[in-house]
Amino acid sequence: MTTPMKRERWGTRIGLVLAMAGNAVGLGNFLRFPRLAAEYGGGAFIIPYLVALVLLGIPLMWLEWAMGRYGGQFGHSTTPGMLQRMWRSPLAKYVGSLGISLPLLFAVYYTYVESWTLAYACFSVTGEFEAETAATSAAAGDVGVETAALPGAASNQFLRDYQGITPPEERRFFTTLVPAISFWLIAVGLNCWIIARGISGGIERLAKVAMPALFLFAIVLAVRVLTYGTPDPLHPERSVWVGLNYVWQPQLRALADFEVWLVAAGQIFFTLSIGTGTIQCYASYLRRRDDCALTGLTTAATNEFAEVVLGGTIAIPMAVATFGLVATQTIAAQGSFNLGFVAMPVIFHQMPAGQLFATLWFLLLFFAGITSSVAMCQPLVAFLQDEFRLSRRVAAGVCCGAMLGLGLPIVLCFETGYMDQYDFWVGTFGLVICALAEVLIFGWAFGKRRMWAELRRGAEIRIPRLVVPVIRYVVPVYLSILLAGWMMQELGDAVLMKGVPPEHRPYLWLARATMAGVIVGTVALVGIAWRRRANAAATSNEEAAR
Amino acid sequence: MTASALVLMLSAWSVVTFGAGWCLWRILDR
Repeated sequence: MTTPMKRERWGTRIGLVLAMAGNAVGLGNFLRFPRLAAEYGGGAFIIPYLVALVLLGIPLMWLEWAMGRYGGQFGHSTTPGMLQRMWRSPLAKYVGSLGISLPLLFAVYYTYVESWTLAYACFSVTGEFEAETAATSAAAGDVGVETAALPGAASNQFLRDYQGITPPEERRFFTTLVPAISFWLIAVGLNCWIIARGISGGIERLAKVAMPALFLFAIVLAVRVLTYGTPDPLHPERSVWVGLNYVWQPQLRALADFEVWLVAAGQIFFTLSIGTGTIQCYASYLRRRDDCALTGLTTAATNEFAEVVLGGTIAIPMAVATFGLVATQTIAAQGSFNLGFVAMPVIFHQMPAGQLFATLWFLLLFFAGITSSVAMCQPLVAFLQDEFRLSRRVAAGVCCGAMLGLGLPIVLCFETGYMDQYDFWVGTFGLVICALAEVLIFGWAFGKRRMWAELRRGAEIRIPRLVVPVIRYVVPVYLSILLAGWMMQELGDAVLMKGVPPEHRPYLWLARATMAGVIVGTVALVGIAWRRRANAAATSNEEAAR
Repeated sequence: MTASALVLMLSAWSVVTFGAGWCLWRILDR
């Protein structure tokens, strides 16, 4: 039998909390949440959001922590081994392989977006946005006040040139994809370097630096927003308070809209990094008697503070104070990236010490991004270490190769919607399917008593008994409704590629084939790993018999 | 800013800030 490798552990408890919070706090906290809150009923959005947090988010968080710690006792850092231990069916490990393939696919496209934040932080330092903002001011002056829509006309082209969307002959700011590729390579390299340094020496050390810096930057920016008031006295309707009102004004009619409940639950999933396999992986480095209840709740609460208090205060109110409500609604409707990468640079350029605040904003996003992306890389690395006995450095190298190979088409074919395919299939459906599988296995196949014992082991706060029926009945029903709702609303159009230009379709098929290939490849790797285990066990038995 | 928006915002902020603060205090206190 092979000798078990010495298992890595977290160095300190606060390091674990920061790393887990870093996994949860991501770009979505600062870009997606405020946009969704403003778009789906303002303050009324927070009601379904909090209901989803209590009924889905916190129980699933505890479940994933407990599942990870349980698997770690047997030397499993990833979900194939964990699910196999809980459900004695040969299928379990293959279902669990989603806990490796999905975070890898997630990391592949997330790292590209993360590289934009790094690039924009550098552009902010060097003052790269000056030319475009001058052009923007001229455009806004020409078209009048509320159509400042176009506050981002030049800024938008800056982003599109950077991403390579603008036709080559029309590019003004970047003529090639070299800057985008360079920053992407740096981002991938940084992720892999951190992963290669290990749990305590890499991930935990990153979290101890990046998370306090992230909160510091976010608090500085939030205070700046709250003291920004009405920057242009000629336009009293453009103020931070109008912006906050837009985010928080309860439109109670929205509560009757099924879509609002769907979006709120989706945001809880996305923001807490549930269903990605990353929480289980981090929790597997706990000891058997370590607490999951308080530590898990702390990471969820820290994430909610970053999202509701800081995320809700920065981008939208700032945009309303600068462009007015109508223009901000237009920007928000165009998506989170427009808000973060098109509107925000213009806003910062128009305020005193804007270069400093722009740098803080993009560094904040970068730290939020990298602490999440290293968590997404970790399951593959841990799986290769556990099951194939690769050294951490070699496993990190394999992960780096996979990220580069799978990520290059995303960078080169961005304008075709290649990345959106990943976001839709992995970031929307994949996570819910993965969470549904794990809740059914942990809540039902594992057994009620064992589940309850596992949840309570080492708990430093009392977990209410009500969590048991919530996990067994409420969460699966909630997830099934969520899945059915999305299928009815989006699946048909997405599968049939409605509205996609015919020349882009081959690229989207390539994206789908790649995702399917990664999922099937991971299933095959899991199969090989288990065959090796069985062979090793058989050899060991033979030796013992002799 | 309307009173209802202000009340909702401050309530939500209080809940999440208190929740995060309490949890962190419990962890750091040990």
